Amino acid sequence: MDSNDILRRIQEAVVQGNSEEARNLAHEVIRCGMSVSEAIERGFSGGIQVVGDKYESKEYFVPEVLLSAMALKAGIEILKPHLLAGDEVEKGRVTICTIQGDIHDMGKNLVALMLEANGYDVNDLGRDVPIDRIIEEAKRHRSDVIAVSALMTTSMANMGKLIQSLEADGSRQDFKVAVGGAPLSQSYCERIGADIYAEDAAGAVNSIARALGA
Amino acid sequence: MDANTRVRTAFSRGEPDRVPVMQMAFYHGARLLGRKIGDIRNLDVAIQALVAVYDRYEPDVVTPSFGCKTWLYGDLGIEMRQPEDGFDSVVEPYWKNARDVDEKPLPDPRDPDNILHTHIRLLEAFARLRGDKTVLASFGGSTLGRTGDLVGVENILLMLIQNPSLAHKIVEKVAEWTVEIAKASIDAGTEVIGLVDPTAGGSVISRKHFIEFSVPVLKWVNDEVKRHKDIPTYLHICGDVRDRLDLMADTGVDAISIDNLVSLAYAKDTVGDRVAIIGNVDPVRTLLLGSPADVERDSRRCIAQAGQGGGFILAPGCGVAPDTPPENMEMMTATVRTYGTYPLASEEVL
Repeated sequence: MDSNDILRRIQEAVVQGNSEEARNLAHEVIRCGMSVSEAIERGFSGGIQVVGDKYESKEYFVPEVLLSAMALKAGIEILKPHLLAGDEVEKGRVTICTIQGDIHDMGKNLVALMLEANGYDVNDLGRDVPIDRIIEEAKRHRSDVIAVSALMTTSMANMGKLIQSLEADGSRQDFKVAVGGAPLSQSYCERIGADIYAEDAAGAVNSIARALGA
Repeated sequence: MDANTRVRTAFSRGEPDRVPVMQMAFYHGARLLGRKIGDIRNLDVAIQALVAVYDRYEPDVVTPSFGCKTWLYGDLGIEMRQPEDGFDSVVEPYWKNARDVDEKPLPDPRDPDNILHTHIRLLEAFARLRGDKTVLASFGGSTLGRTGDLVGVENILLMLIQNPSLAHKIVEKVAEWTVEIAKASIDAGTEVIGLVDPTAGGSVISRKHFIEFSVPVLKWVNDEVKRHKDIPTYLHICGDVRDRLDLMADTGVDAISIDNLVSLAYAKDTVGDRVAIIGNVDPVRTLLLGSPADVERDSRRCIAQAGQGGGFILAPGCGVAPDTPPENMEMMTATVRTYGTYPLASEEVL
């Protein structure tokens, strides 16, 4: 199997949501000495982009995307420790979480995974994260972007509070703030003074890339 | 015309004296009382909140939605998040494996010792206090949404592909529980039952999975509810449901309540000859963040799109956010009173 074959099969494994095959192929990459960063970028990340397109065109829905995300995660977990220093071109640093007051993290988990597969250093704080902790963690992680999600209108309001806290803290200019979740919209993003909004996980990766000038 | 006749006429696709209005604003009711959202776990506050919504806005249909999740799942002994000023949520799944599904039962809504019975007591109390003036609706539940609470949303969605027979078993078991809650709610004075399935929309599962896992169960729940008492039923599914409106109508419910992502005109054209239409003032952009003028515009748009010929109830596209300005809520009622009288003006005038 040449490296192009392996890359193609990795993509297929991700698109089909086949975690076992993704794991086998990740081991194969290491065994035959292929470039790990290329396997992540062209194989796994390429596969999840196809998945994103299929979601967009309503061929895939959330269950299919979740299955693919599991395959992606399975492969990347094996490959990550084998990345050589300097091998990875880091696209940016993102602190991500579901905002204070909200525990719905399915969408956030997908965004985190897709960012990681696309070469971002992701600091995932989990769900229902207090505003002060988000700011503290984003500083410690030296993030370029703070990405927060909400599914409920009650917790959505905390996104505006996050931005006010960043302003009060004098660190608003240090971060781009990305917001997402079902009740959100571009106009709400603008209203609270956030920088980036996207409708879904694939859109989030593209919007963050654009905002960071990639 | 009294509220009951008005609402029943609309549900049977007839033309009442005017367009009825429905409010799903239980938690907003807590705000009307100057209370925190978490206070609604207390039955007395919950009763006052629902009464406050009726007294202030005089909707033709009022609903406490699901009640609160502490009432639904408080008997299960699982970890829950109960914030002082936010919605309750389930932190850990109740059914962690296939054996749990067989061995760990769901609570009886009629047992007065169960926390779940709080929901029934709320319905009884409200029916006694305001039931002659407004129609009380209660959510009978959902196929995938409530299942998601019990086994984890990601778990049930993955199960549709990875272990469909277990998914069927869980969805059916939850449906049986839903029917028991609906029957107890009807006996407590509920006059409309809503089936609500937030996880069954076109942004979440495919039409194929909807046909396989949701439609038969929704049909069964609707039949069982109707067999218990012949009252109006509706089905609400969040998100874009354009590709499954026909299937929603196939479940046998009297009305379909749709989110603001779907045009009411499209819904009326597609299934308006089979079901009444409920919707769809935008609960976030219009009601929470807009002005009373925006609410009037959006409500008139709804009436224009789906009101002609009857069979229409004006409602928010989804649950109302607690901090929605009361003057925006008032404007929905004011708009049906001004512009909703039958025969309606022509669409241009609206």
